Parts: sequence; C-alpha cells; structure tokens
Amino acid sequence: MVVIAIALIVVAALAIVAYPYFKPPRELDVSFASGTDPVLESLVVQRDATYAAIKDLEFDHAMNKLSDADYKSLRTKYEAKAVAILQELDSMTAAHKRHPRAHLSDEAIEHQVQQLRGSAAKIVLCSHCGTRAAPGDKYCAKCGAPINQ
Amino acid sequence: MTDFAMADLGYISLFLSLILSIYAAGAAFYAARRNSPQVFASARNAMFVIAALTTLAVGVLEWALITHQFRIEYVAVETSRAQPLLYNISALWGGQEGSLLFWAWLLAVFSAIVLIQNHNKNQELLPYVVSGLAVAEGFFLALLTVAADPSIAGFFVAIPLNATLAQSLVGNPFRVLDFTPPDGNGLNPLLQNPGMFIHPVTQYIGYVGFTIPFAFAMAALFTGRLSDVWIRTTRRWTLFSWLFLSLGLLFGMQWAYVELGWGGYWGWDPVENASLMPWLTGTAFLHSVMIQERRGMLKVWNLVLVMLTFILSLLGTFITRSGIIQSVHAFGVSSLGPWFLAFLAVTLLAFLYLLFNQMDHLKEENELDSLISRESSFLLNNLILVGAAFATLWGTIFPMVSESITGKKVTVGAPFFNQVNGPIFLALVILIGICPLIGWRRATAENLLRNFLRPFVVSIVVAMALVVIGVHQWYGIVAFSAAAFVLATIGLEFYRGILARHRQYSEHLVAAAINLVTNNRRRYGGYIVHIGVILGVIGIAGSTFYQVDTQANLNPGQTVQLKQYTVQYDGLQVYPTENHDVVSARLTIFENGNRVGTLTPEKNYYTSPDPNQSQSTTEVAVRSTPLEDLYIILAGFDTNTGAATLKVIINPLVSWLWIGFMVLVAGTIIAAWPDPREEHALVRARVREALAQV
Repeated sequence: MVVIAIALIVVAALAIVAYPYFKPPRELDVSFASGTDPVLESLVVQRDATYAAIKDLEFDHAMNKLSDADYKSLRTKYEAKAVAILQELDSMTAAHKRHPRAHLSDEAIEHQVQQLRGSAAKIVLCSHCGTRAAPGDKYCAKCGAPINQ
Repeated sequence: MTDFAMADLGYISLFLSLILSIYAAGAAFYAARRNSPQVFASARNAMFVIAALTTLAVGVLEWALITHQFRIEYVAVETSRAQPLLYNISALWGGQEGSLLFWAWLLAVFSAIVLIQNHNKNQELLPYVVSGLAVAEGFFLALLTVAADPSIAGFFVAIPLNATLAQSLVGNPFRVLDFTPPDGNGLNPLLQNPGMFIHPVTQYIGYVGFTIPFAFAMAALFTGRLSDVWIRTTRRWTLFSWLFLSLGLLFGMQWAYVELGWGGYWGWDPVENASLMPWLTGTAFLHSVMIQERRGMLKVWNLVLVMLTFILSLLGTFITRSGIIQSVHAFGVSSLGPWFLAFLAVTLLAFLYLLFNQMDHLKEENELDSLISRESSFLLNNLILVGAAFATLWGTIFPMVSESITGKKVTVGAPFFNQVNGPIFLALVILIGICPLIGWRRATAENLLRNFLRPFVVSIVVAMALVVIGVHQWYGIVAFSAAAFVLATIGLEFYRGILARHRQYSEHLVAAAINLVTNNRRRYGGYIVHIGVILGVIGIAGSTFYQVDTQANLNPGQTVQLKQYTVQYDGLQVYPTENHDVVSARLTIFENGNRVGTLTPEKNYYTSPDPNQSQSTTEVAVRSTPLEDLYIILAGFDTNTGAATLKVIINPLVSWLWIGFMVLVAGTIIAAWPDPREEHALVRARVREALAQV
C-alpha cells in the first residue's frame, strides 16, 4: 500500500517538474528574458537612498546634531545629487519612450499601473523580436515588424 | 511491517529531493545563461516539490517518533515509551540525523518562500539565487542519504543493532534495524528540559536563515549587479535570521542557567561560541549595510560580512558533528566532519573567486568625510564586533589546531575569553552611547561635546552613587556607569525627538512618542534594541562581578544564611516519575526573617540501556526578583541520615539579562516592520522601471 503511495509521489513530483516544458511561457515570464538594466536599477536605488539621506539630515538637524552651516552645505550637496540622479533617470527613460513620461506625477503613474494590470490579459508580443507591445500598437516599437492583434 | 514501509517513504522522499535539487541547481543556472523561462519555471517547480517532500519526510519521522516505531534506528536511540510526548516530538532535532533533516527542511521551506516573495521581482538575480540555494539544499540532502552509505541500495538492507549504537549513527534518519526493540534508549537526560523544545528550533532558524542573504550576495557577485538591490531585498531576511539567532542565544542561556547547575548561563563552550560568532558578524552586517545604502561605501566589506556570517553558521554545525570536541552539545563522533569542511572550503573559494572577478565594479563611491562622523563610528562598531568574533574563533579552534600540531591537549577556558572579550564589549557599549550623538558625514565638535555632556554627567553621578552605597569592584562600576551613559543618550534621543514632533506638529506628547517611533522605525527600533542590549549588559555585569555563594551540609531543621536570606532545610523526598526518579530537598526561604516561599532543588536519576548517556541531572531551584536571583543546588544527600548538601548562590540582576533580550526582540520587530511609505516608494521605483521598458 505504501509502495503505491511512493510510486504516486515519485510520478507526481516528476510531472510537476516537467510540466513547464509542455506549456508555453506565460506573459510574466517574458520579463525574465529582458530584465532591467543594471545601470537603471542602480540609479533608482541611489535615488531612494538620497531621499532617505535628506530625511535623515533634517532629522539630525532638528535634534541639534548638526550645526546650521553643516546642515546647509550637506543639504545642498544631497539635493544636487538627487537632481542629477533624477535627470539621468529621465534621460534614460527618454531613450526608450514613445510619449513623454518623464514628468508624470505619482498619481498618473499609479493610473498607468492600474491600466497595465487591467490589460495584462491582453498583453501582446511581437512575433519577431518578442518585445512587449503596448495595447493598440500596430507596429513593434523595437524592430518595426507589424503586430497581429 | 508498516514502520519499514514508512521508513522507505521517508528515505525515498529525501533521495528524490536530492536528485531534484541537483536538477534545480543546474536548470536554474542554465535558464539564466540561456534566458529560458521554461527551464527556470521547471527549476522553480522542483524547489517547491523539494519543500513538499522534505515536509513529508519530517512528517513521517515525527509520526514514527510519536508512535514508538522502534524498528527505525533513530527512534530507538532518541525516544522511549516512558519519555514524555514533548521530548519524543523534539527528538526530531535531538539527534544527529534528525537535526540534519530539520536543517534541510527549514532550508527547503525558506527557499520556497523566497521564490514566492520574488515572483515578479529580481528576475535577474533569482535564477542564480535558486541555483545557490539548491546547491546548499543538495549538500544537506546528500548528508542524509548517500554520504554515510555511498551504496545507495544500502537502505534496502536492515542492519543489526550494534552495541556502540550512538556512535555509529550517521546520515540516514530512516535506517531500520533487522528486529524491533521493545523499547528505546530515550533522549540524553540533560536534553529533557523544556528548553529542548525551543532552543534548537530558534537557533536553527537563525543559522539556516542566513543562507538566503548569502545566496543573494553570491548571485549579485555573479551577475555583477552589485548595487544595493540585493541588500534591500534581503534586509528582512537578515533581520529575521538575526532575531532568531538572538532568541537561540537567549533560550540557550536560560536553559544552561537552570540545567547545568553551576549558577551561570555562559561557559564559552565551543558550541556556545559557535552561536555567538555569527551573531556578532550578523550584527556588524546589519550596521554596515546602512553605510552602503547611505554613502555607497563598504561594498566589499558587506559582501565579506555576509559570507562570514554564513560560514560561521555552518561552522557551528560542523563543530558539533565532527567529534572534535567534547561537549553536551556534541552529537558524537561521525564521518560527516570532512564533508562539512569540504563544503565550507568550496564555498569560501567560490566566494573569493567571484569577488576578485568583480573587484573593478566594486569601487567605492565616496570616502570618509571626517573621523568624527556616523560612518566612522559604524566602522569602529564593525571592527569591534568582528574583532570579538575573531578572538572568539581563535579561542575556540586553538585547542583543535594545537592538538593536531603538537599532539597535546590544551584547553582554552573562560578566563581567556573573559579577559579578551570583556574590554571589547565594554568599548562597544560606550560606542552604542556615542554613536547616536554624531550626525552623518561629520559632527561639529561643539555639537558633539554639548550632546555628550549631559549623559556623561549622568554616568559620573551613577558611578559615585554606586560607590556611596557600597558597591565595590571597579570593573562593575565601570560597566554600570557605561550602561547609565548609554541609557541617558538613548533617553535624550527619545526626549528630543518627541519634543521636536510636539513643536512641529502640535502633537500630544503620547501621540508624538508613538508617531516618532512609527515614522522612524529603523532608527527608533534600533534604539530600543540598544536599550535591550544595555539591560542585558547590566544583568551580565551584576551576575558576573557580584555573585556570592556558600555551601552547607544540613540535617532537617537546620538553616544556612547568605546575606539577607535564611534557607531552612525541611527534609528529603524521593519519588518516581514517568522515566526517572526524583530526589528533592524541601526548603523554606526567609528574607530578613520573613517567610517568602519554598524551593525544591532536585537530582533526577534516569535508567537507560545506553551506557554513554548521563545517568543523572541536577534541577536547580531559583527564586527571581528584579534585584537578584536566589539559586540553590542540591549538591549531595544521604538518604540514611536525611542530610543534604546545599550550594546557595545569589546572582544579582540576572533577570535584567532576560528582560533585555525581550526588549531586543521587540525592538527588532519594530525595526523590521514594513513602513508603508517605504514600500510605496519602492513600488513607485519599480513602476518607473517597468514603464521605461514598455
């Protein structure tokens, strides 16, 4: 009896492991292939860290751990750094963009996310290069091939 | 025959898991190199199946332990019919093989959780992380299946019960005997304490947990994605594992305190040291990542620290299984030692190879602005912690190194560790106090002095007060003054922060206090952790420097006096329980002449067919107050005359050690609690990236 159970378990285990080979990859798996640009990733992380640093600076100043002069000079430095990072981020997204997205407010970004989530079921791939096409595109943004909707 | 078949089920689950983990390691790696989502999905599924199969194996072994399937060798060695259920359950991790299975199971479950957490994230790192985790998992599964018995068909053959049973057990927890013993040996009596239920579990969760950040670090090194993403992703895993290492230390110390019966809670035993060292390097890591996040410095150092923490976690388990030390923690001699050593060596070499390959990409972004800055104080903190870890490591392995070279046995005992680590930890305590006073980048000297002054005055006042009330021993006074200094600085942080919020947002003081902590979880959670550490230091200083004791041989009715306590010996009681006989002394306790309670220290006697197991344990009796512990041991007795030899100890301030740990746990949870704003910011960052792709 246990022998049957063992056999079933072995078969089930192997089936689960082999299953992805018999099924086409889902949309989400496409991002696996493309991945994010490491430079972009690094910039985003630096930007968040700079914001946190500015927050910490303000806090330390309020707690009298930094003199006014030190606070001002450090604050200027960090703000300049944040601006530089944001500019670089924007120029990187500009290279890929089809519409100006650089000055999107956070609310607008949230809206876009909702739209993307809503249209996830309708994500379409270019049959030539595999890049994801925005809903409604007639031609692929990357390679120019026509998209079959 | 069901027990035999169930053992097969358990073993095959493990063997199949081994195959799958080798597959997963290779497939995930291949998927990353060839950008194949299908292969990665398969590797991912394999990891989930391994989690399920190891859970099944654990379930089978627990079932066998609870239902007394003595045909299975492990059950016969670790349990007995008379043993209470709690210890039969905890026998899962009580023996060599079971604890390896427990480790493999924890790692499998954690790996599955990592996969679920990163379902849509970190797709670049994840395949390499999975590969690394699968390799580690495969190592432990190999130990459980093929390491001890390379002829894998060996599990089909039942083995004869062997007189040196405990020493021959290696590897497979599902090995069966060729007959069914009527009863088992039972757990070593020293392990039959509630601590057995919680100390190994928390300790192992801590050890295994650090595999995750290390796997991410290796993946980051391999892919060259050395920005902070790997650190931020694993921050909660690091905190979680560190928290459980802390809990492991706490419960281990509490258990030692009541079980070993010498009045202390830490003996610098090699296995105790093995749990302390990764905790020290883990603490250093928790701090130095803040410098990397803030200033882009110490990238290499952080990678080294997480590697050290992982390796030290494994070192502990190596020490207990190789048979090279004698200790209550040791599982005895086994052939697994060389396997661990090899795994440690390969891991270290792989890490160093990847590190040197990536050296160009690990440039520092900034330099230290000034010697008096938060960065430099964090660096000093790191140096002190890692210094303590290495001093402890050296003291721990020196006997083994020396014996293998000179052939002579030497022991490195508590005095060495106390003399070296004592001053180191004192310096660390003072640093905990100074660091919050300094701002990032640079501290103006006048600000620092102004902020430093009031807490310093407090510490001097405390020192003088202690001298006045008659406390002697200058190292105790120094320790208490340092503790007062730190508590004053942290208190000031809270006070000034609350006042600032009150002014800025017109918040009611209580609301300001709560909001201060919830809006600055990392900082104030960290301060609470520091408070816990300082309370622990107070407890350690009190019980180390100011312990007093006395010993007396008493007949019933006689008393012994220690400071304000009078201990009256009323008589001896002898009675049997489930699996042991108890000899207990009934004592009535008087404080300054007033009756305050009774205590019953005991000696327990176990019978066991295994001549290697302890026959008796000492159960101390403790009466705890915030000020001190009255700790009494039944050292000896005479059933003919009814006389008893009692050792009476007063341990001042010990309760503060346990209280301090609990405060540390609370602070860690606060620091780790997700900040909705922080998560939101991370989400926005990812969204921007995603949009940039479309």
